[in-house]
Amino acid sequence: MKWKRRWPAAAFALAAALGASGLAFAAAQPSGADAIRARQASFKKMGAAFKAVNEETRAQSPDAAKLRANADIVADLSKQLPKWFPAGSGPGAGAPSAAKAEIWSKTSDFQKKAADFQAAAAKLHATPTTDIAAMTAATRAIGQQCTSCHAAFREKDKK
Amino acid sequence: MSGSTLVRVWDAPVRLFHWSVVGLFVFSWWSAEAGRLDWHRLSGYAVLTLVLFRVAWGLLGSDTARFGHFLRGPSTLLSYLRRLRHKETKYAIGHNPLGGWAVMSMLLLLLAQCVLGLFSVDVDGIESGPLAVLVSFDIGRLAAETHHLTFYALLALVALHISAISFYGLVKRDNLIGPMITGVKHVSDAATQPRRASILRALALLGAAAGVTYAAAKAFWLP
Repeated sequence: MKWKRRWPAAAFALAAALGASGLAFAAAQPSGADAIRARQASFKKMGAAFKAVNEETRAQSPDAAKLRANADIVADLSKQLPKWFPAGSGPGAGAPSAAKAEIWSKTSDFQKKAADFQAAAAKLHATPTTDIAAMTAATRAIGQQCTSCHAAFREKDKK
Repeated sequence: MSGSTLVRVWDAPVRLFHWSVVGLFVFSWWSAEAGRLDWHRLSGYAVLTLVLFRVAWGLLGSDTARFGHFLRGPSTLLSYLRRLRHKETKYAIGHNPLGGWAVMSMLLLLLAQCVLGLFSVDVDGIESGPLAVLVSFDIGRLAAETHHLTFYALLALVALHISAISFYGLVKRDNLIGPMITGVKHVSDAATQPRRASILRALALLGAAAGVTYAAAKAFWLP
């Protein structure tokens, strides 16, 4: 008798547990398309920061605070970059992406380029904004890392 | 051709403008594809200067160069279209009513293309037009993406332009390319010579156009 009364509650608890674990699973394993969208949002942040760095280093009277802040955004984001490419976020993941399949097939190549980029970004982070010539050189070195990695691992003329 | 008159249709500024833009259009295309954005920017400045000059020449230049001379209303356009089907060719001095609007469309698109380029930012935030500093990354990207679309629109107009010239040459036996090179055209009926504006005025307007472009390219009023 007691079991009979309790079983709707038990069923509810079981359903809730299943639902919760399902949600937890979904949260722990974002879909490939979500990962692509998150990656693109992060790269946009990086692009906006890098645009500002380029502009401030070229400006006649650079804004030191703006230059520092954006240079450090680039350096911070560079550390996160390798995490933006989880398995299953490549071509065919269900969202338009210019990421080439080689990112996941030539992993060591990709990791090396990411590390080179991080090193270049760390150098920008370590350069004082008072030394605009050094800032410009460090910015240019980062730009070369962007271009080199994109030439190998990003489809041309694709969003 | 007996009793034909030699009419000086296109002045030197119009011809030089035309063939320079042809060359620069191809060069801009190549430099963008090759990723030579340094050359692409310079080529764009040259096109902007030329287009600004051409707009000024359309207001203050020789007769056949003026917008008032070749931009006609819809009724003229329609009657011209109707006559186009017949074999008889009424020689038009300068742009015909249809071609005039094609020219205007190309000029406006070229101008839009140059202005968009000034504000464009590449996907990595590395390369940018000189005025991109005035806009956000997102707006700069939008400018660049529109720049890309405008290029295809320009390509379509160029294709239409070349098709139309081929149609006049092959079907209507009217050579339009020759006069754009030599400046002169044989016309069967006696025609009045179009009035030509002075070369000095052309140089002054070209100088002013170059000044405007230089100001945009240097953006020296910015901090």
